Amino acid sequence: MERAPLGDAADSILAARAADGDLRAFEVLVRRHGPLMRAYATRILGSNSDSDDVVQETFITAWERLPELQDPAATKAWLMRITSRKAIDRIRARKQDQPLGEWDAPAPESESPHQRAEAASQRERLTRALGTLSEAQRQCWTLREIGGHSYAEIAEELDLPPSTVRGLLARARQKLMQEMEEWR
Amino acid sequence: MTVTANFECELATELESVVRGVPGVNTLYPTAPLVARIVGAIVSGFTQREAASDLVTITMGEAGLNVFAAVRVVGSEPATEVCRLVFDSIATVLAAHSPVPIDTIKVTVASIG
Amino acid sequence: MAMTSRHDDDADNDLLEQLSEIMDRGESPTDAFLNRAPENRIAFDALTRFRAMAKNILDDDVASEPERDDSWVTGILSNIHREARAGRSIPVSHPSPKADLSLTEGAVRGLIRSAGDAVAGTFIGHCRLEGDVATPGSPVTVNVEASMFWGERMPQTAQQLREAITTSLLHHTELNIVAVNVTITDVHLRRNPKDEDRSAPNG
Repeated sequence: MERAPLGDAADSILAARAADGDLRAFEVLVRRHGPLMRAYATRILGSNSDSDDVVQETFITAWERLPELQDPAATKAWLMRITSRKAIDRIRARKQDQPLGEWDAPAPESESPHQRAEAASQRERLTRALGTLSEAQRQCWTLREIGGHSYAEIAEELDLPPSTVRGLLARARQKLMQEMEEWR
Repeated sequence: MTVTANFECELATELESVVRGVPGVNTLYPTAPLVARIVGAIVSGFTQREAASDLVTITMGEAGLNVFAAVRVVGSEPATEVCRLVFDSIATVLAAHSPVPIDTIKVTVASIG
Repeated sequence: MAMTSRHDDDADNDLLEQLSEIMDRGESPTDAFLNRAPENRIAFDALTRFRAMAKNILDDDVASEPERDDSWVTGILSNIHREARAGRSIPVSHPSPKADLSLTEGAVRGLIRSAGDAVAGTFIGHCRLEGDVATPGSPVTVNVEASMFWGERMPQTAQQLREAITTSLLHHTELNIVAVNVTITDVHLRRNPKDEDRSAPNG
């Protein structure tokens, strides 16, 4: 048997090597998880305009903090967590001049039912349904359902009272169900 | 002062090509950031200006010239042997060209293979 | 559907929240609960579909992304501070008092990884040099973690790794290595079957 390509190695091995300074191992992690992190950042941000920057910041932070990573097998979840934090930092910076009230404002009604009916895939339908949520609702929902954060974690990340998070999530879920169920 | 700066600059460029020519040396790493940290320890009065090449760093201290190079070593020759060869090559050039005494020549192997 | 009329909003929210919390705990609602009212089951089914969709949405997003050039990877790698992992300075001897020669600990760890990876079917993970590496001659123990290819025999692989690492360290460094300890922490499979596997003779 010949020397195996590093791409065959598990995250735990790659993360341990990168923590020891192996840039090649880190590159494999970047290629393996970068696209997913970009998709996650795009979902949290609501557009992909800043998602490349978020991914870059995430990996730079990850490289610096890798030696502190306790469980290298949980590398992906750890990277996703840094991604959401960086994305939220962006949103916070963006929102600095706006009152919080606006943040939960309903999204503009931009699409007619006819346009919506043309959406074929489940993914497109869900994306459109998410588009009808307020930004705050969408962020809470994304962190909860895609990121797997607890209510308490979301409250901490978004700097909101847990009761507000609970309310935003409940409204998000109900709205999504209404939007999606119309397709059945 | 200007004369010294020019001299360092030319010397750094020459040393860079000499180090690159040592068998087993694959890459020269920039050393400037590390040097910036030890600059404080160098007594002022001489120029502390970094040479134009940031790959081989030359600074003037109280006891003479300080040279620093960081390299990547590849091949079957022992990394320690290549490291000593880099030192010897730098020392030979300095002995031939430098009007000032040599304090230290620091060679770091920052990567092997 | 049954849950969309306005006056029911609060009740719907309560139901969704209740169900979500049960599902967040990784549990399923009881049959008794689901059979209590038709909207209970409708809501549960919808939430279940939703969760499955949400779980897959990032993968679907990735799959629908157009192929990108490599600049995002190089952009990240060029912003990484490699020197941060140099570690300790391991002296290299020289008769001249002017010489200040060393290998970085990071370089030696790289050497160990490369020696270990050259043993068929293994990857080195974490690697530690225990001992006073800065003092010439002082005893140093190497502890490495490794992943081996599925199906290889563990004691033999560990022995091969020890030998490869020891040989390489003796060749390239002046460290006084007293032991190389190998711990197999992972087993891996080949992720991408090679082309030659498909075009093998007699295949």
